[in-house]
Amino acid sequence: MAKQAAGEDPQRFLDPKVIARISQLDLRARQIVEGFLAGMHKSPVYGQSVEFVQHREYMPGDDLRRIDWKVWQRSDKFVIKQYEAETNLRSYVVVDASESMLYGADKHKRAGSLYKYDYAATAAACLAYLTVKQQDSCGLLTFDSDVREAIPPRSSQRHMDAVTKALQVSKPRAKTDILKIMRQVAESMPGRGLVLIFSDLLCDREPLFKGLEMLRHRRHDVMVFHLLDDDELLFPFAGMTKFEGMEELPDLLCDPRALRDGYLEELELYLTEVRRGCTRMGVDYTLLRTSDYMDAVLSKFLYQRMATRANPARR
Amino acid sequence: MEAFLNPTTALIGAALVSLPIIIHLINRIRFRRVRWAAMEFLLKAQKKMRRKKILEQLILLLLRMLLVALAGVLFARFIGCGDGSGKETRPTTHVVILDDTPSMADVGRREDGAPTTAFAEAKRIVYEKLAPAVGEATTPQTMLIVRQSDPDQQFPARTKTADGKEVPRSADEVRDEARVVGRTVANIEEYLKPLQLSPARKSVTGALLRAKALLEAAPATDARVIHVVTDVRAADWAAEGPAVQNLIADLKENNVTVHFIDVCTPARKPDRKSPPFSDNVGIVEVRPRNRVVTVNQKTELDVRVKNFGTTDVRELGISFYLNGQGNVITSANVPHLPANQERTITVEVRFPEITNPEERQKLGPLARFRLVTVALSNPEPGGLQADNARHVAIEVRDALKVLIVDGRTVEGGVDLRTTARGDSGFVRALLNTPKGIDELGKIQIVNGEVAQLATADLRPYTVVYLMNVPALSEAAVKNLEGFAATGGGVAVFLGPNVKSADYNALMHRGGTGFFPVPLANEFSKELSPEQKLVRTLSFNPRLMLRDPANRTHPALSGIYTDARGREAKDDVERFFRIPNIDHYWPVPRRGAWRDDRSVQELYCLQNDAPIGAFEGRATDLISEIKKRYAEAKFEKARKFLDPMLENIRRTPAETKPLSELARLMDDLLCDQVSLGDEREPVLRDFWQQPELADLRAKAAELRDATKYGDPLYVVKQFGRGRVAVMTTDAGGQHGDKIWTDWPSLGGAGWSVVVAEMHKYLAGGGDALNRSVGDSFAAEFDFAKYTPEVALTLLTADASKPNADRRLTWEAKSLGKLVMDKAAKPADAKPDDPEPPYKLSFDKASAPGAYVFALTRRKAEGPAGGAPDALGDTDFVSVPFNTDALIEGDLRRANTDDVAALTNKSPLHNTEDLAWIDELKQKPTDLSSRRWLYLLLLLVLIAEQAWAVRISYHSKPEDLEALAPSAAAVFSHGTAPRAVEAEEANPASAG
Repeated sequence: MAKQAAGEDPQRFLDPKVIARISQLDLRARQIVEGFLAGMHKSPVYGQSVEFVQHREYMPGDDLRRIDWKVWQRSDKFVIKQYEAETNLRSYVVVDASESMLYGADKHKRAGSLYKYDYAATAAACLAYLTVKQQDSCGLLTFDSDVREAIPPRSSQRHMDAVTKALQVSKPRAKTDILKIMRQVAESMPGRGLVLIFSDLLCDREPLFKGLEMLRHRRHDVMVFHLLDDDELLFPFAGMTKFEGMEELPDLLCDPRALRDGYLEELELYLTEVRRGCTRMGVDYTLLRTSDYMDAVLSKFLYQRMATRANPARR
Repeated sequence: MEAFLNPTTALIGAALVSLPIIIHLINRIRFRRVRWAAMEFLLKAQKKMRRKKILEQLILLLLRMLLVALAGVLFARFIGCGDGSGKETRPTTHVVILDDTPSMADVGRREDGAPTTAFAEAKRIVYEKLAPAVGEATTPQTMLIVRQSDPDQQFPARTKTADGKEVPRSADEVRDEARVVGRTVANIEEYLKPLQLSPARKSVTGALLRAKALLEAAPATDARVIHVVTDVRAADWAAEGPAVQNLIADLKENNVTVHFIDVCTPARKPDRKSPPFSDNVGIVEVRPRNRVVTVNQKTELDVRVKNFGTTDVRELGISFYLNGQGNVITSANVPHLPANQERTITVEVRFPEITNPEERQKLGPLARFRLVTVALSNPEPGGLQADNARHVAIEVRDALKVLIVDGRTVEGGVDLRTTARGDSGFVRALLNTPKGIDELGKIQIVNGEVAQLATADLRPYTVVYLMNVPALSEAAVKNLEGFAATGGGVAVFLGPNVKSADYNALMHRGGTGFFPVPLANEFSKELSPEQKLVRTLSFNPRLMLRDPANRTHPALSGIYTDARGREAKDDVERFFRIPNIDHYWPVPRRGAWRDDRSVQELYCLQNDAPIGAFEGRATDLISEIKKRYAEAKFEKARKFLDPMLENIRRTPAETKPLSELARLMDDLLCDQVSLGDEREPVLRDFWQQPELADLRAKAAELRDATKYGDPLYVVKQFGRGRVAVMTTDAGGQHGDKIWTDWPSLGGAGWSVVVAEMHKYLAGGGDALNRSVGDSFAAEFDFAKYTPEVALTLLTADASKPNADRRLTWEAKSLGKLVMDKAAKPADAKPDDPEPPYKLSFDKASAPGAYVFALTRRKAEGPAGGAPDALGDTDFVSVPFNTDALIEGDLRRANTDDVAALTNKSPLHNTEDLAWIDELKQKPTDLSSRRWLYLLLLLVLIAEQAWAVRISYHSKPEDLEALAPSAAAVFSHGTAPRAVEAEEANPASAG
């Protein structure tokens, strides 16, 4: 807020290019979230977690302690007071740390922009910060073919340090095995919670959908942030190029301009399949590109949070 | 590599063709590496598009290779893969045939509008185009030029001057000079520029034969080409086409290429097979009625003019110049000369004595010749000038000698030749009358003896009369035939002394002798008094024109036509009702002489046969006609025929004169007279039916049989001379009888006919309308002449009359000729006379009259008499003129006809001379063809179009179309950047 008073726009931290200049992930997260919140006219956060929602008539079997006696005194009717959930939100941020998330790292570093994993880590940190700030608990899991880092959900401020540290340590390496990871996440979350997945989803669709289905089966809210690099969306290459496959895929020497149309068609098929799969399973799906402003992620998250509060039945 | 002018460039080009492949391969080697996550899509895309993309790339590669190949062909200058046929690369001998005949003077306009003649164009093309092009060839080239008018005259000349003498050059010397180098082209120009048109018309075949001989002398390894630079006139090709066709076929067989270059303007176009041509009017013939006349004798000139153009000519004036002086002979005028038609006008001419002593002295013996130059008064614009004038020479003597040989000379001590009783009394009287002198000239009659005829020199005579001559010896006949064949006239009047058997055996000789008809064994019998009475009472003509067409015969045309060529008002035939011809020598009506085209029966006698003799034939004919006219289509004719046939049937029975039947037959046939009534067209139509042709012939035969009697006056063209025969005598008295009273009673009729006969006989001579370039040949008695002949040309330049209407006239001595003496036949006896000298002349080089002067060995008098007043020299004048009939006809030959006659030899015009480049032996390469550039452009456009079609100039819209999901991501953030931008700074990783 102080920076805002000084005339600087805290929302500039939503720009990935600005974010990229901030090396510390925790600082990044704080700047983004504070900037994001400062830009809002009204905080969408409800405040305390235990909060009155509405009255309803007393039904036999209801706990007598919940009868609002003040109402009985005025109207001689027994009504029950209903409140918000009494427990904190448990959310799990799952970040893909496979090799494919490292695409364009050098280029983006030179250009001062975010590559996929960088973007995913930043977004994950932001959400963790936001969650913790709301007194909710937030856990983290990074993976490739196996779980690389796993931090159980906590709501303390110190927990935030662990999260950011884990994100910084997890550098992409190996192939994705998403089914295995999803199973692990599902098993590690005893109650219902919110699972936020940051991945490029460059894996087989069948295990992906199986994993998501598993999460949904356990009644977790799942938000998939599908993260792709601009190059992957546009395929802007020209000249003879040898594409060296990441994650153990074969190489291909070709004139990329000749294949662009085919590539885009295949990409479209893939995106459509993923989107439809997610929709079918009730998974909230958001396609992001690494040059997108960070508010897309935060807005999506807050929107999800609000929807959850407004419609507990959805849970 | 022989297919390219720049083989090195071709090699480079061939190497560069592989450039697109090399670039492709280099691109495959020089690639950058990108570590790529989304390989799945890339691999799928590659799998899916692999075949299509390979095909597309292959096409692009081929297009680019083709582009490089075409550029290589362009710069390497591809000349074709053939064997070089059509592009001669050997040493070549060229023979140019330059048409310098008079028709080449045709005036036209060049492309730039400058006036020119075909001949000037021909010369220009040779020295400006042909020779320089040949000079540019890379192999040794030889060029010879032959003139069509005189193929022996060539460039380079075959002789040279050494020590003031002209000596022949060796073939190598000529060939060296003909070798085309820079100097030769200048020499050719120097040779051609002053060259003038020849007045002689010569066939191109002569020049082609000469060219063939020249080419045969060329080295065997040389290629051979003939260029005929000509005006390609239809008249030339009509006359010479087949000969040229054979010659060109022969040349082609000998591997000679023949080019025809049409130098006429406007240029011959491919789409107009018969090109336009200039109008032209020419004098095609001048024919004097008499070649020998006396001073102031009235004679006539026939002038034939022809309009060769396509437009009518009006008021065509014709001027006459006598020895170069105009206004002596009255000018004439042709009021209307339709296109492509000719007219003959006749003018009356008299030749006065030359009074100017200087001129007389200058001309010497040639003063007797008068050169008449006939020229168009106002030469037509354009067209030829050469055919606007024509010359003819006429010999004017003080008197014309006529030899009269009487059958009876002295009878009872009286010289019959001095009396009217004699055989020639009336003839002599006629020739000596003032009217006779005016029309026939001053005539000197010489009495001849039958015995002398065998040896007499008849050359000084114009006409020889044989009057009731019994018979001639074989030698006399031969002498007379020699006289007639060379242009003399022979008149024969028969009589009782004639021995018909001798006439038939020696003079007629079955038609080969000079006597035109065979005679019956006996002359006609005298009529009975009754017959004479019937004849006297009859008002029918006693003699009649055998054929209406005879009115135009030269022997009669003077009687039936006036000076303007129209029908004479005086009807001489009215006199033919008076005379009686009691005796004559019958001539078989039918015989070979009827089929002899040189024999013409002019007058015949009335048929005195009894009419009853024809009754049967008349009846047959009537029944035959009635059989045939039954058809419905002859209904109209039947209406007229029936009464006529009835009259014909009745007439013999009524014993009317035979002439009445003849008249009825004439009416029936109505082919010689115009009835002028309604029957005429119907009957003419009836007789013209093809199915009635035999019937008509039968009717005509009956008509002739009834109408015409025995021949009276028959003429024959014998050699260049003429023979006339009267089957009766000339009015002589034989004892107390006369054969005919025609000369005495008929008066006017007889004298007119005989005077015309004399003119006709005196007008014989060389009738050939000779052209410059033609040859003249004659034979002269070896014993009488020396072999040397002096030649003089009488001519005048009709193109430039001065203010006094005088032309430049000259008598130019052309030196002497020597006559050839033929060898005696091997089987000849020592006493046999020497064979005659043969005079042959074909070197006429200018129009005019060529006078040959022959010197007698000794001054012999005619018929052994006193020395000839004409001196010891005999003259023969032969006019040579421009061949107006062919050269004046400027119609241009049809392109297809020429192609057919020249075996499709190339025919070029003056505008499109691109073919001449072939002579440079620098084969034209494809860089000179427009289509190569067009092809190059098309391939370039195709390559670019294809490259764009398959290329990767992607746009943001492409993303929207191909991957809308990806595009949606950009829609709520920054717009996707254009892919090209990435190309400049391509993503790289790993």
